[in-house]
Amino acid sequence: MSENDTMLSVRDLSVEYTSEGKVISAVNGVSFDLKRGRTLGLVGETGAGKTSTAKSIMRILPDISSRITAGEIYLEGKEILCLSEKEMRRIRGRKVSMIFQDPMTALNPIIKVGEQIREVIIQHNSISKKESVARAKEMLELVGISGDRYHEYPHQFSGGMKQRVVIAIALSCNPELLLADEPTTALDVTIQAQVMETIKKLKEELNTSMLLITHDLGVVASACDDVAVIYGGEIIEMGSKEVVFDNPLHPYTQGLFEALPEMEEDAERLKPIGGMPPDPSNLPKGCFFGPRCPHPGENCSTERKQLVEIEPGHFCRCGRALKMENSNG
Amino acid sequence: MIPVVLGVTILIFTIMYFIPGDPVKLMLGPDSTPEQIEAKRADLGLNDPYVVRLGKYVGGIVLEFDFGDSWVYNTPVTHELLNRLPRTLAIALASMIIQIIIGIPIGVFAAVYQNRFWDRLAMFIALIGISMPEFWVALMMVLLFSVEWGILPPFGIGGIQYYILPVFALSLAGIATQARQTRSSMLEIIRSDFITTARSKGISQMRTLFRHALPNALLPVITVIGNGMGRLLGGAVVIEAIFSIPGVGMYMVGAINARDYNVVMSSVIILAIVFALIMLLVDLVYAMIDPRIKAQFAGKRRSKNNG
Amino acid sequence: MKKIVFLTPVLFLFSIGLLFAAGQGDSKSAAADATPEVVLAIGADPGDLAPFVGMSNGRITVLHTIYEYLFYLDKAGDPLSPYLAKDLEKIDDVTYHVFLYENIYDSAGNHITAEDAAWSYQTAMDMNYLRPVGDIESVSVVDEYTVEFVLKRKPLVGDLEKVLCEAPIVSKTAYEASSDKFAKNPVTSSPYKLSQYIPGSKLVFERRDDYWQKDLSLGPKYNRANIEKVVMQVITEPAQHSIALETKTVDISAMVTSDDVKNFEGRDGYSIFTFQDNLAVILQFNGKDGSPFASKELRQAMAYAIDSKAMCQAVAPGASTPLVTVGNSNFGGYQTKWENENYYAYDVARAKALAASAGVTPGTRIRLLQMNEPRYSLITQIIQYQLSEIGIQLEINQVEASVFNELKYDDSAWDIMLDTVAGGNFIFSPWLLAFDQTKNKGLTGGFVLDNKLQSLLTEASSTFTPESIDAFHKYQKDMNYAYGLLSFHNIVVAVEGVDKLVRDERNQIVPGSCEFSPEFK
Repeated sequence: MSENDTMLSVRDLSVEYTSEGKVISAVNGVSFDLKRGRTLGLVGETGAGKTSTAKSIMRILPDISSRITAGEIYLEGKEILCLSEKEMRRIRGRKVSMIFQDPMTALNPIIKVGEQIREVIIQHNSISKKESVARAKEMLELVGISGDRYHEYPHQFSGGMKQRVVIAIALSCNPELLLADEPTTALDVTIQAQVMETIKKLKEELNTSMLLITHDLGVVASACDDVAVIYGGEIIEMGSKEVVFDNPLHPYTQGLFEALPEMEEDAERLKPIGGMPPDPSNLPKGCFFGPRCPHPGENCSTERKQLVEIEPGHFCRCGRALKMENSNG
Repeated sequence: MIPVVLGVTILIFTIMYFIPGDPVKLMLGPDSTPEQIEAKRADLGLNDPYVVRLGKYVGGIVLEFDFGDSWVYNTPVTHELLNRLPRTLAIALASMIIQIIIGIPIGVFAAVYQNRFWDRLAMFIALIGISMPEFWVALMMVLLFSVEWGILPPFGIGGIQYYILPVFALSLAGIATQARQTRSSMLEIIRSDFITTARSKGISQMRTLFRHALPNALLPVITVIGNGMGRLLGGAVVIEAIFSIPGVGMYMVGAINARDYNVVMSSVIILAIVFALIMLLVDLVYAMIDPRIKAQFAGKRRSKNNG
Repeated sequence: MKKIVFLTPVLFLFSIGLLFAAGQGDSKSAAADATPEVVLAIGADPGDLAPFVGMSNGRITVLHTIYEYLFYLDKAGDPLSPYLAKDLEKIDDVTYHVFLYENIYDSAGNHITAEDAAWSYQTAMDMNYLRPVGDIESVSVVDEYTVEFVLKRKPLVGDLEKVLCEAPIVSKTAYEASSDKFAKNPVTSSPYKLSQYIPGSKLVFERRDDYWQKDLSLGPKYNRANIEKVVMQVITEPAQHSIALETKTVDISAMVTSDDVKNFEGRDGYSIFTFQDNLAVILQFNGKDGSPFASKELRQAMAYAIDSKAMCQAVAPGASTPLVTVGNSNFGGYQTKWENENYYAYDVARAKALAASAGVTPGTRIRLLQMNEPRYSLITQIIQYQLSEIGIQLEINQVEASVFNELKYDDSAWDIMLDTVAGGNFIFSPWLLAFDQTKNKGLTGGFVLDNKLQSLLTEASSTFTPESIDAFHKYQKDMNYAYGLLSFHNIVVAVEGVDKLVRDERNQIVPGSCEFSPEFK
């Protein structure tokens, strides 16, 4: 397994937003690798920095208010943060594409859906109009929509079908990396299952690597190979699905699992994690999770923690976990 | 549209009915005797009751397209309106087009370079444009182009060069409004999700702006353009007065002062019809661009056919 | 979206096309520029060009270029001078015979005879717009070139002249052949023929080669046709008149504002002509019983409180003259000795005393009615200030022309009225307008019943002797029912080459008859 198998490598990525004079640190030194053909689940709460990370990879952050302040991103070994806009455009839609969170607003309301798919096909392929139309119709069929609906407008589709159109757009140029930002969050459960099926099927057919952003551990379980937990703009736990699910090390991850109600138990109330997520314009000095941690240590509020490999292939950013492992091992 | 025009007709007729000031006294002059005045009034049918007069007037228009005669010019109003309407319309329409052609790109430009130099410059110019009154701008332009440089005629009609200054003077405030409206609409649209989708496809900045952002941003702008037509028709009166262009506006104003009822009412009705047509056009354009609106219309038609 | 992109240039071209079409319909032919022409700027559209309808500001500017009349009058008090008619004969107190020239032809070739003249007057009487023809009992044809007029009563001084100069004479055939009663295309015997009329914009006249009067000295000073083309350009915006002169798009204008006139004073290429206007600006007091101005002392107090000289300086310096009667020196019968009398010279102390004896307390409110026009507003503001010096608070009510004409006759609507009077050619014409009690329900314009005033007025207007004129003037001056303020000057600015201006009896410039130097256009 050489580096050629690493599709995406993010190193110390930091992103800042400026809003009303305040500086918001959305992403604080995020690093992870994604191997070719595998799916990495990026789990976190709203505002944890997941979408910003994904948008940074494609460099479609809003120009006015946001800035990538540090870090490097390697796509198939090539650093992309230093590429020109023109070179970046060749990557977008072709090598890397994205599925967005809210299908209701992700499509241009006044352009036919078929045309919106064709647009990305034509952008990256010099083929005749007739052929591109045919290909766009193929994509529609692929996501389970009749090709005859090419000439219809987004408002004529339901939420689930709109999301499928978005998927069709994302996949129409056979991207090697797919960034899926909470693709099913806005849909109801039955549609969720359908859409995830579609995504999985296509991913297998095309051997796409995928970064799947979600806050739903169930989705992680069914669709991902690896998982990274993000909190306060940092990765706090990372590893294969199996090791993280079997042995969540970070108190936050543990809290996430505990919040899931058990089928066998009689539960009157859910068990949330106490406290509020950190204010990204005013992050705590030590561990970001410190204020909410059920087992805080003495230097947890003063010392920043590092991401450490606690067991093989299982990384965690927690002093206590490290101590416990050391005392065990 | 027809109820609107009918309503305008009745409203303006009633207003003219109640305005003080006797047209006959004005017609006959200060020397006239009371008998002369009475005779004239009876002659013109001014002593008939309100309903009879209204009926005669509306009947004349609807059945014969006859707007009556002007008491000042003693010629049929219809004929005169037909002569004058093209001049007023030309000024108003040309102004509208200029506003669109200049104002919208300025607005797009300002939105793309938001808060940077070009945006500030564009908005500053827009502010000045809105603040300057039309007649002042018109006279300043006349002083510059006609008196100083002598390249354009200062007033009158006779060829297209006579309309250049009037159209530009009239459109200045509209350009400013259009630019501001487009800018704010664009700024809103640029933040939309579907713009992010568009960017993620790898298409160029130009294409994102003009194929995705602008058409959506134009939807509210189109309505503003339609409304602006009303301002243009009104502003045309001022411009006509300054440049001595015999259009519907001047016709109407002169008639108001002389209490020439037929002319006032007919002018108002004509302008109302023009305005209603423009609004209709705006609606149609809206439907053309936005498939959701088109679907609404189609849906209504379908349900009418089915039901 | 693509459709919009296509639509815009299409719409643009469409509106350019509209402008073209709109412009095209009105443009003159290129060759026209070579013909010598004079362009007169007028302030209002003449409207209806028909011969027998009522007067308006626009109409009076074109009348003498379009139409010809039986006689004309150079100055008040002169006998009638020949125009279309060569002579007049008095048959009895009310009957007169008028003798036409025998070679009058209009531009369509119709021969104008007594039948046409009688018919013209009869039509004017029937249409009832021109007040003076209301004095005619009957008009009839005596023979081919003689017309008989029978008046309703023995004419007072100036009445006959008014009647015989009032109605234009046109060919009955031509008038009846016209589809719009000459509203836009009059056919007349005048030396100029109307070749183009764009309502609201301009009139273009071209000189006829076949003008009937071969000996011009037998007619008025305005039957000349000294230039081939006369253009009257309507310019509604006052500021544009001076711009028009600056850019030489216009040759003569009588409507340059007094501010702008300064730009032309002493300037090469332009000449300025100054005339006194006919209109006298006066204050009419509401003298009905119960009104504050029923008191003579108060009326006199007003006159003493107002400084006409200062007012002239403030409102139109160098372009106005204070009055010494209700009327000015333009009118026949005006006596210059009145200027040496004391016409309520500015005296605040006396004004205060008179006001006090009239029972006026400081802070009394008086209502003034005026027509809204910028110069009148200046005048009334000055009056307001000057009256405040004697403790009177003036409330000014500015209204537009048609409303003014209504409120003028409403004795509860005002206490003082700023009015303008002119009328005919004689000094008693403005007097009649302001004071004749036979018209306004038996009262003067200020709602006063004064038999002595009326008898002096009748005496003055029927005998027209210096004594009767002076008698009325003295009495009215003392009673001060109305107070003369000032008259404005008409300032006419013309470009170089216009040597002499010719004006008709309404003081309107007749451009074709003006005299031009050879280099002019």
